[in-house]
Amino acid sequence: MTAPAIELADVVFGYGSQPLFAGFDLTIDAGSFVGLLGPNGAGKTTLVHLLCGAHAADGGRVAVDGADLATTPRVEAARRLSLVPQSTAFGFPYRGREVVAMGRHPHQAGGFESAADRDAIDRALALTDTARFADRWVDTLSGGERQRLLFARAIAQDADVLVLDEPTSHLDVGHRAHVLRWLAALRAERPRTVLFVTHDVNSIARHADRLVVLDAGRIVADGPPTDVLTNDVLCRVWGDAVRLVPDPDGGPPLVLPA
Amino acid sequence: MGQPPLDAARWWRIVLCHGAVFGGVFVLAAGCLPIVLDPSKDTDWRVLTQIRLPGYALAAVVGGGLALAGVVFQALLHNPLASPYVLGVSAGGSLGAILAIVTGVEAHVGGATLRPLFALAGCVGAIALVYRLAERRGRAPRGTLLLAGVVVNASLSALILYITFVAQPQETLRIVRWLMGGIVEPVAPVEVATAALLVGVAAAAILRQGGRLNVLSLSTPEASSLGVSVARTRIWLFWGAALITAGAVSFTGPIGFVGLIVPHVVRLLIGGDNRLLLPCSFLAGAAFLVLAEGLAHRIDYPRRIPVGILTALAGGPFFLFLLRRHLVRTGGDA
Repeated sequence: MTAPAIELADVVFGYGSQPLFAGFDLTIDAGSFVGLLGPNGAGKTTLVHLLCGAHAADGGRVAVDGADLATTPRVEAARRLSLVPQSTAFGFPYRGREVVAMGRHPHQAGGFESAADRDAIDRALALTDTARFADRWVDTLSGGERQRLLFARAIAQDADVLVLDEPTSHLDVGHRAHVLRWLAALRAERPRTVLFVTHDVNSIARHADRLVVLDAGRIVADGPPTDVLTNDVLCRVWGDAVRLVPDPDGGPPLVLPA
Repeated sequence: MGQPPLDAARWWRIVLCHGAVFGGVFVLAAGCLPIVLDPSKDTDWRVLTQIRLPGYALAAVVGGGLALAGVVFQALLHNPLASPYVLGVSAGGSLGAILAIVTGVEAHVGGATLRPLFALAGCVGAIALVYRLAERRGRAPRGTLLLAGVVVNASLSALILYITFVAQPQETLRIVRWLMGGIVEPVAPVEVATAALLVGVAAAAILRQGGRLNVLSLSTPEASSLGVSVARTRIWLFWGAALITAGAVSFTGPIGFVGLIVPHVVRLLIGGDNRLLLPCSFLAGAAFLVLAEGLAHRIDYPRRIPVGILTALAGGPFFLFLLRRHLVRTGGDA
């Protein structure tokens, strides 16, 4: 039996005296595509930060691919899990290619690019159609173009677990569709686990095999999209501001403003 | 794709090119410039090798060190306007040096003065204080570090002014001369060797950390997800860069703007990739200060302008240009 891709067991974490997570449990099987939903302040981003090692849990176990993050060297953990952030600020003039090359950092010794690094970078540039930005300075690119580079960076990192923290919130509807297509292409290559944090309920419900809804540091719903998107759950999390409408094509119900 | 990948061969090629330029500048400033401009005195081989050469060697070590430290501080603090002095290093070093001057312990011991030792202690003390103030549970947030640095700088500067105010007139002159920053000949070879050792050891450790520094210039979650244990790596890079700065300013006083200007000029030339920026800035900083030192000796001959004045004079307008460009690029938002 293989270890779960992501395992949080009895996790305790908080920023001040008030714990956000008090005995939090979540297990994600290898190869699955999970959408993480929840209102602002539910703890989605904190969960992501725990997974990528930016925060250490005050208690409990956080493991990626069987490796406990508390005892695994950071560089080794980075070969198992990569992150696509919501956006990033480049304080310095980097070229597009240099940004993508940073994804190879956990694989490199001494900061030099090997032939394998070069291939991974070129593949990531090709898949995300960013090769034409490779020589451009990032501060001359649009927000959407920069976001593509962050995707390319995570792809170049070549980890089996991919965590995306609201990566599409600044993208137009066409770009959002691209992102889901890239994920499908990556998962067709070899089994990869995706944890996709988003507010775009309708789009994720059509692609994920499982939805997890978080509210105030607790899981309030967890299961296949059709099971999770019910009036009961919606009412509990978003109040009466939204309503459910049946999908004319027979997919999971659509969430619309009331 | 136009930009070739950065493998070891390309890295060495670029670094050696910069090294050759630095070598040229060194020969020009330290050898040719004196001979061309003042044939009467500096052609004396003994003057050149025993007085000029140690001075220019110190300028190279200090210039290179300050530029390298500047790159590190700017990347770690996510702030292009950061200099090696933002965390109180120069004020601490100056306080140490000034205490050595007013207590009279800077008398020569075995051919060298104790002043650099006092300055070094002051530098290290100031950094430790700033870090202690900003740190909590092994983390030191960037904003808090910067603020603590500014406050410690201001407090120590006030203390320096007070000591200057109550000091004897001839001591005041020496204090003011120290604060100007510069290379005071004759430079004892042991001073050059000590500075080179301090700067060299820390620089050797930092020089190949460009990949890490690139990643650390991103947000903490990103840096962490890319395999850098952020809190720990930041602490030792901070201390490494601070030690370089301390090693540099302990022998010359605070030489302004080298650590700020040089990284930016090199970025304009080769871009922001720290893997190349670190070695190239080191070489460019060394070349810049050697050239400035050469000019400082000649501009107002036979008076020698302290090189710190010259670099600050050139640096002020450049800093404004930078600020202006930053303003234009961000549309005035930042």
